[in-house]
Amino acid sequence: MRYSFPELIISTLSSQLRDGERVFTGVASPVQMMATFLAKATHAPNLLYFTILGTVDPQPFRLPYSTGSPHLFDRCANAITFPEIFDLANRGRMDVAFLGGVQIDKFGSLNMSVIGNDFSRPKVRLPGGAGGPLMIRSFKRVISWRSRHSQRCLVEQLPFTTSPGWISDLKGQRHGGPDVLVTDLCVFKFSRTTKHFHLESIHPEIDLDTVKSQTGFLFRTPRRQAITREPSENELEILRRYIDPNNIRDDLLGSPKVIQ
Amino acid sequence: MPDSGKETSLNQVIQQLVPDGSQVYCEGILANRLPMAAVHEIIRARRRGLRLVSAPNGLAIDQLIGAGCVEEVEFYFLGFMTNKGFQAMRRFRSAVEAGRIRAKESMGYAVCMALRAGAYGIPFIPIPDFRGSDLLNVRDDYRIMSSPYNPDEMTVIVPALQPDVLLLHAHTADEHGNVVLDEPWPMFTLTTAQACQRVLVTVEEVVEAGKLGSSRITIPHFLVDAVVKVPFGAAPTALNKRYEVDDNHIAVYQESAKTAEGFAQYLDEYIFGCTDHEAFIDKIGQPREWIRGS
Repeated sequence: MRYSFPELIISTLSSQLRDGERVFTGVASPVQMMATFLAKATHAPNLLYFTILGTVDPQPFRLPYSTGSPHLFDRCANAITFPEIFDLANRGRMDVAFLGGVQIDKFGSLNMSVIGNDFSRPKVRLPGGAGGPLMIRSFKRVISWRSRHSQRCLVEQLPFTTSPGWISDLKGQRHGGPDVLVTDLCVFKFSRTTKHFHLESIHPEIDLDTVKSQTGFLFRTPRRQAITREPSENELEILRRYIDPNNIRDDLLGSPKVIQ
Repeated sequence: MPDSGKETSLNQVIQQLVPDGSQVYCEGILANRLPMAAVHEIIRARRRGLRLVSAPNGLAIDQLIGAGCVEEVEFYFLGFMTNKGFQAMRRFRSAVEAGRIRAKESMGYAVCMALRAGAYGIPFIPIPDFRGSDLLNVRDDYRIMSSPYNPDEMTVIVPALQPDVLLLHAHTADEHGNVVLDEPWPMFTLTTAQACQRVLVTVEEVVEAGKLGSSRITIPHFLVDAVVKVPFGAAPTALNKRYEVDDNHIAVYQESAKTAEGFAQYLDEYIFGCTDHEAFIDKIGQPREWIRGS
C-alpha cells in the first residue's frame, strides 16, 4: 500500500509506545500527539494520554496544529494541572515523555537553549527546554523525534546541555535520556549498558552511507541492516479516516513524498 | 476594586496596576487564551522596564519585547505550532542575541513550584535534583541542597515567585469579580492568582452577582483586583468553547516580526493604529466560531 513520509514517521513513533503506558506530549509536539492517538487506536488501547494542558485521553473535535490548543480539552476523560504531571512523574507514576532537542549528542543530551559561547548574548537563542531538564530523568522512558537529521543537529558534544542524557559523570544521581531517537532518516536505540546509540533501522529508500555522513557522532551498526517497518493498512486507514482526516500531517512534516 | 471596577477601561486599569518596572506573570499557553488585549494595552501605555515571568506563551512575550517594554524575561519555552509549522519568536531572539534584555531561562516545573511557594507564602521550595543541566550554571539563584532528613538525597531549591501582577484572560466574571475559566480543571490558574500581588482579568462577559454557580468559580473575587470586559480578548489566540485560533493573523504577525522595521510597521498598524481591542478585532476580523462535534 502506498504511504507518505509523514505517515511513516507517525507510524514509527506510534510503534514505540506500549499498551498500558502513561504517555505525555509537551509543547509544539503535534507529530508526537498524532503518534499517541494512533497507538491508542491500534495496538495500545489502554494507553493513557496526558497533554500539556493536563487533560487525559482527549478526543478533539478538530485535530489541532498546536498541542496547546483548547481542542485538547474536548471530550477528555478527566484532567489534572500541568505541574501535577511532573508531580506524578517524580513519584514514578509516568511512563513515557516525548522530548526533543534542536541539537542532540551521542549520550542523548538535548540542547534547547543557546548556540554560541556566551549564554547572555548567544549567537542563536533557541526556544528553551520546557520541562525537559527534569522530565528526562523523572519519566521511565523518553522518546525523541528529530526532523532534518544532519551533522548540525546530531553532534558529538553540545555547546550547552539543557537536558542531560545518559552522561557518565552524574555520580549518585538518577539518570535519564532518550531510549529511542527517530529522525527523518532512521531509528536509533540507546543502550543503557554500552552507553551508545545503535542503529535500529533505516527508513525505506535511505542508505547507510547517508545516515553515517549526516550524523555527527559515532553509532553502532548491526551486521544485518533492518529497514523501518512500513505502516500497516489498518494504521493508514485509522490515521487517514479518523485521526487526521484534514491531513495536517503533510503541513507539519513537509513535502508529502509518496513511498511505494 | 471589583465592586467599582466594572466600567473601568482597560487603559485605566493598566495605568494603575502595571507601573513601569513591574514583574508581570502572563497566563495562557501556546495558542490558548493569551491575554492579548492586556498585552496590547500595555504596549499602547508604553510601559518600560517590565520583568516578565512567562508560561509558554511566546506571542504575548514577543510583542512586549519587540515594543521595548521589557528588561528581563524568565521563561522555559517560547514558540508554538501553527498550520505553517513551528513559530520561533523573532523579537525575543533578536533582543536576547543583541544583549538588549536579560534572558532568565528556567524549567517548567521550577517556575510552577516557585509560584506554588509564592502562593503558600514560603520563601523557597525544593524540587527534585536536575544536576547535569547547564541551566544550573546560569541560574545562580537556584541552589543545590541535600535533604535535612536524608543527606544522600539532593534537591534543587528555587526561590518563591510572587509577581507584582497577573495578566489573565478568562470566560466570565460576575459583578463582584468572581472569575470563571471554563476549562476542565483550571486550578493551577488559581495558584498563580494566589502567588501574584495583584490580579488583572479580562473576560468575555460580565454577569450579575449570584449568576455564577459557586462550584464553577475558578478565582474568588477577593483575590481579583480588576475585571475588564473585553470580547475576544485572547484573539488572535483561541479560547476554549468560544473561538478558534486565527492562524492567518498570526502569520501576518510572524512575517512582520522577522525584522525590526516590519515589527515597527505591525505596531503602528495593529496596536498603536487601533484605539482599543475592539478596533483591533474590527481590523483583523472576528475570530472563527468554536468548532464542536456534530
